[in-house]
Amino acid sequence: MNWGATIRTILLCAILILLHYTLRPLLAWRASPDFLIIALLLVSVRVRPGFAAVFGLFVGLASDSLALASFGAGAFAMTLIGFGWSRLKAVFFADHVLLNGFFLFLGKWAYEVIMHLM
Amino acid sequence: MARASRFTARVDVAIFVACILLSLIAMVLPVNLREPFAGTLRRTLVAPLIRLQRSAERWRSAYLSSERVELRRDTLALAAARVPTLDMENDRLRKLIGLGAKLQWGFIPAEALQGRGRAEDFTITLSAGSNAGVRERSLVVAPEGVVGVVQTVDPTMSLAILFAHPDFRVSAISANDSAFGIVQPHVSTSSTTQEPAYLRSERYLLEMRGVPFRATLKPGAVVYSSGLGGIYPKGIPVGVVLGEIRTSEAWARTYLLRPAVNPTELTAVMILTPQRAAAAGLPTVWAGVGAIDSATKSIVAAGDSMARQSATAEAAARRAAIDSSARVLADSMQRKAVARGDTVARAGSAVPPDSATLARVGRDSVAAARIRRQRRDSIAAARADSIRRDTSRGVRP
Repeated sequence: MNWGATIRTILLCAILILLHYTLRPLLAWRASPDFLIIALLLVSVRVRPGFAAVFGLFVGLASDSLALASFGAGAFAMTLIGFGWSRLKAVFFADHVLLNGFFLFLGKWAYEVIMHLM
Repeated sequence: MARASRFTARVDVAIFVACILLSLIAMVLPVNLREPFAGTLRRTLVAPLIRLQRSAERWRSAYLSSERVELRRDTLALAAARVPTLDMENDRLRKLIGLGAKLQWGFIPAEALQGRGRAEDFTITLSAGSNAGVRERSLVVAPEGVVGVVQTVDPTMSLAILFAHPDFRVSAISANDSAFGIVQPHVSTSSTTQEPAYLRSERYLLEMRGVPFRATLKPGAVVYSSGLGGIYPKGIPVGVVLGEIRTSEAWARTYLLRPAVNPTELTAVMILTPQRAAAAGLPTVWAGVGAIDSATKSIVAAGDSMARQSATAEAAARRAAIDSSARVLADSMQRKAVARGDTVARAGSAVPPDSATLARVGRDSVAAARIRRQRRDSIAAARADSIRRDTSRGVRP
């Protein structure tokens, strides 16, 4: 991965995290988009599985710091999702927009299933 | 190359396992060990994001409250826009009630429905028909005066011609009985405008024709129905003289009249039964309709002024009670100061009043309450006896 792509990925990730804490409460829809998962999945398909797992761990711990009763559950789920999707990028990763969208949809569903099981 | 890729894959798996273990440890940590770590994360990494979230939620609540304020303002504006219409309708209905009270019997109230979209029609639909007692050629009146005559009757509705209809005629006379003639719609043949006749405002004016030369009518004189002809009884206002006009009839005067009734304000009318129209006493009805309305208003105003007086008396009684307790306090303070000879007491240390003073203040407030109750009962009795009742008595043959 070259520097340009790296910077683009970092910027995209930062913007998505900011949107999660600004646009989401502003809209306050019944079904709000989870920008943190979108950021995690977009980073996962661009980095190595190990780094994706670390990124998932940190993002999960940061979001769990506001929900002490389930501290660690979000980190566990995001670590799994980050590592798994990074490993599966060879299968799912494609230039087709719909496939990418389906990829994001599956990732969010998997996160919700894991959180529900936890 | 394959070895390098296998090595990196193993490193990735090891990192993954380590992350899983760390997250599991975070899950099972006791609260006292978990809290410092979570607090550090909140104070460092999450705090700026929470500030952003707080600003976003403030923006949202401000937007929602401004929406609510705007909605409330629009609702109030809409309600305020309806108030003049409601006032006008109330005024008309009050006048109609006054007319009904004066007529006492032989009338059928009806709503006048206009605007069927047909030009040069000059007819109105009335919401009462033969089931309510309406007959053909029944007179249609309003508190201001003549409206027209019923032409067609159905069981639940009827059609009436307005005074602007070409077939409308009424024999009229001046207030002092000096001038008489026939009133008919004013149809002007000469006009400089291109618009159709029914759109011109002068189309709704009336003419009084055949007035003898010896009789002159001044502008502003009221013209009434004369009772001749058998349809219109005597004494119903027809219009107000605007001035004399020149016509082809050189042997008599012709006067232009402004109708007594404004056709745009016709919402509710009275239909007189033939028996009522033929009965005696009708000329005095329209003379007294204005008096009834003003009498009603003066009774309501009297009730309001009584309420104002009682409120003023109550306020005065309350003030007197407060003044008397203040005077007692001042007296007792002065007595204490004189007894002790202490300047601090003169500066105004608080001394509680004695029991006799408290009892007097209590008696004053009980008396004020009794006065308030009596005035309230008298106002309610005055309003119950007022003329504002439903005076429509229906049809009596």
